[in-house]
Amino acid sequence: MVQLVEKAGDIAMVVLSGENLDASNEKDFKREIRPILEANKKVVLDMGKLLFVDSSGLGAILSCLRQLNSAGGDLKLCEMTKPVRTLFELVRMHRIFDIYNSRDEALRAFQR
Amino acid sequence: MDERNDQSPSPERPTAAADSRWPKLLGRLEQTVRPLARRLGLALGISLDGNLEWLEAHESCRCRSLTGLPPADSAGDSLALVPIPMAPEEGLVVLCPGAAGGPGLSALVEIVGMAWAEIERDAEQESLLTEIGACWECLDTLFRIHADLREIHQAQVLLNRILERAVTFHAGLKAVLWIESEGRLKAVACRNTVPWPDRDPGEGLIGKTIRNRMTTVLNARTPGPDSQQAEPELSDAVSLVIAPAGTREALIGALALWHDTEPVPFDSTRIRLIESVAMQAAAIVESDRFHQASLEGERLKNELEIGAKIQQMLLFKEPPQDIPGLQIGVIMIPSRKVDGDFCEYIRHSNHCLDIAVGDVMGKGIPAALVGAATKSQILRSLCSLLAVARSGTTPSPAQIVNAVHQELSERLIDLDCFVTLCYARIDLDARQLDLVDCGHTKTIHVDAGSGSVRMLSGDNLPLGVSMREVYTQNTVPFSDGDMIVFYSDGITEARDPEGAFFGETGLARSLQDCPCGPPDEFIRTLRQDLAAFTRTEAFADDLTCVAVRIGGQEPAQTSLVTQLELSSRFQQLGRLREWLREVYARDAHEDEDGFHLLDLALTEVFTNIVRHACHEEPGYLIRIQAESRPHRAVITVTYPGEFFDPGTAPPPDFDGNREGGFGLYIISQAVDEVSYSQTAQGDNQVRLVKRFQSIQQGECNNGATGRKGR
Repeated sequence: MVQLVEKAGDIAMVVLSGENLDASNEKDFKREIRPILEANKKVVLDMGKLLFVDSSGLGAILSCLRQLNSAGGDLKLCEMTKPVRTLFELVRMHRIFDIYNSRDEALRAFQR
Repeated sequence: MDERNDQSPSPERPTAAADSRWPKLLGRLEQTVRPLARRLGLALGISLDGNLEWLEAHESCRCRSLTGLPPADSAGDSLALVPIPMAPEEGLVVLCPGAAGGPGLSALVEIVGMAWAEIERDAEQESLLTEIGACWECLDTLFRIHADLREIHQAQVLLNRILERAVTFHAGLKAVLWIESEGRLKAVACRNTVPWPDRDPGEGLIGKTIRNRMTTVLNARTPGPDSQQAEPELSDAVSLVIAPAGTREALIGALALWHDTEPVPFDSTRIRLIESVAMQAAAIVESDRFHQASLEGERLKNELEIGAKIQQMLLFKEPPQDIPGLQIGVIMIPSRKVDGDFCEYIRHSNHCLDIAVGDVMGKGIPAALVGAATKSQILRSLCSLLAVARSGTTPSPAQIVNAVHQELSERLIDLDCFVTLCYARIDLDARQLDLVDCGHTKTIHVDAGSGSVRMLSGDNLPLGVSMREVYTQNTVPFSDGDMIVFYSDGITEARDPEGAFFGETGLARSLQDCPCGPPDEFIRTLRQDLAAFTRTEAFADDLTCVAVRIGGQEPAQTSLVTQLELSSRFQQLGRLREWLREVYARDAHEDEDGFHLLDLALTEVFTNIVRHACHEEPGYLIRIQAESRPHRAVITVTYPGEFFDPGTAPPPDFDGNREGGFGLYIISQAVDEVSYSQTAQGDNQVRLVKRFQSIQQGECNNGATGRKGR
C-alpha cells in the first residue's frame, strides 16, 4: 500500500495506494514505510488516492513525522482529499503537518 | 429628653425673690404669727435663702439679709436662728432675740412650719393642675392628628394639618417641616412662614438636629445671627424647638417651631408633643413614599397586562382551520416583556389565504400599538384596493404592501420606528406562494418531494425606512405536502446559556425531525427544541411561528431499521463502511460531508470496541443496528466485553506529541449525539445520532436582504 515512486535529489516521493488508512491496515502501512523512513530524511507523502483515514491511520502518519523529525528530517503531505482533510482539521493536525496541494508544491517547499 | 440640647436656665428653680411662695408665706404669717410675737414681746424675722423679712422687729434689727445682721439686738441679746424642720432645703429660718427656748418660740416655729407646709402643698397642687392642663392639650392635639389621619388620605393635606395643630398652643408660632429627598432638605410643609428653598441637610441648627437625632431647644434666646449658625428663618427667633423627624427606614428630616417676638414656654410636655408630631409627620411622609412606590409597581404591572391584552386581542388571531387543503399550526409564546410581533390571516376564498407576519422594532406598549396600527392599516388598504378593483380580482400582495407603505411609512419614520413584515399569499388554485418580504426573517419552504428546505427572502426594506421604497413580490410554486413556515426573529435569535443563537439551522433541524406530520407536530417539536436549546421556558422575546402544510395529512414515514453483525476484527471495518453507505445511500448523496463524519464516528467506535473491549481477540460478536429516518441516522452498537467509560479517557493532544487518543474526540465532534450505556443483559451499547443537512439556501432574487438589525 506504500510505493516509493521517485526520488528528487534527497527527497523521497511516496504514494499511498489504498483508499483507506484505518485500524485494519495501519500496521501494514507502518511496516511498509519503515524502510523508506530509515533511508530518507525528506519524505513527501502523496495522499491523493486516500479517501478515508481514521484516528489509527492518522496516528500512523503522525508517527512517520515524529520519526523523521527526530532524525533531523521532515515529512510533507500533498494531494489530500476533502474527507481526509476534514479529519485532519477536526483534530487540528493541519497545524502540525505541512500540507500542500500538489507534489510539486511539496517538493519545492523542501528545495527552498 | 435627658439628652436634649437644652440651653435655657432651669425653669424649675427660681430665686427666693422670684418664688411665688415667699409673698404668700409672708402674708399668712403677717396675719397669724405677727400678733402673737408682738404679744410675747419678741422680735421675729423670717429668712428664705438669705433674704430676710422682719415681721416684728426692733428698730436696730431692720436689716434685709442674714449677712447684714448685727451680732446682737439693742437689748444686748444675741439672735437665735431657728430652722424650720419641715422646709430644710429652702433654708427657712426664724430669728428671735436671746429669749430662745421659751415655750412661745417653739409655738411660733411650729406655726411658721405649718404655714410653709400649707403653702408648699398649694404650690404643688397648682403646678400639677398646670401640667394636667398641658398634657390634656397635648393629648387633644395628638388625638386630632390621629383623627385627621383616618379621614385625610392626601399626605400633603395631612402634613399641613399637622403643622396647623402644632402651632396652636401658642399664638404667633411658626413651623416648617423639613424632609430629606434626593440628598436635599425640602420644606414639605410650612405654617405662618413663607416656603423656604431646599437646602443642604448637613448645615445649621436643623442639620445639627438631624445629625444628632436630638431635639434642640432654645428658650429666651437673644435673636440675631449668632454662633449657632441658625438658618435665616430662625435668626430672629426668641425661642425655638427643632425636633428630628425620623423613622426606622432611615427617612430623615426635622420639625422646626419658633417664635420671633415672645419667649414661649417650651417645657418638657410641649417638647414631647412636638417630638411626637415630628415622628408622626415622618411616618406620614414615609408611608406616602411606600404608597407611591406601590402605585408605580401597580402601574407597571397594569401596563404589562394591557400590553399582553393588546397582543392577545389585537395582534394575534386564531388561524382559519377550515380551508380545504391547508393545515395551519401556530406557536405564540409571549415573552415576559410585551413585544411587537403580530400576525393576520385574510381569507379571500377557500382557495386563497393571505398571511401577514410582522415584527415592530422595540418593545412595550408603543411597539404593541404600532403592531396593531400596522394590522389595521393592512385591512384598510386591502378594503380600499378592493373597492376600486375590477369585480372578481383580488389585489396582489405587492399592491397591498405598497398601499400600506404609502399610508404608514411616513408616520413610522416620524415615530422613528420600523416594521418588518412578510406578506404571503397561498394560492391553492395556482399552486403558488406569492411573497412580499419587507426585511422580515426568511420564509422556509419545505419541499415534500425532495425533503429539501429552501429559505425564501426578498430584498425589500422594512416599512418605515424609506418613502422611496417600492415593494416587489416573488412567486414560488409549491406541491402537495409542502410546508411553508413563517416566524419572528424571536425564534432564530433565541440563545442558549452560552449565548449561541438557535438560528435558521436550529429551525431547519426541528423541521427535519417531523417533515411529514401535521404542522402542529412540527410546532410541538419546535417548542421542545427551543426549550431544550435555551434551557428555559421563559423566553426573552416573543416567539411566533406559523406553519402551513399544503394538502391533507400524509401518513408519517416509518423509520427503517437494518442490522449487521460483525466479528471483533479490524478487518471488518471495510465491510462495516460498505454496509453503512448502503443504508444511508440517499443521505450520503445529499450530505456527503455529514455522511463521512458518521462513517468516521462509527469506524472509531468499532475500532475502540475491538481494541479495548475485546483486546483485539476475534471471537466476539459486535451488533450494529441502523435506524434510518428522514435526514437522520440513529446507530446503536452492542458489544460484549469490558464496559468503556468515556470519562476515564485522557483528552487528545493536539500538539502531535501523541499518536493515539483522538478516537473519542472524533466521535464526539462527528455526530450530534453519542451515549454509552449497558443493557439489562449486561452488554455494552454505544448510540450515535447524526442529523444530515439538506438545506439548499435558495434566494428568491439576489441582493442583500433588508433584515432589520436590533
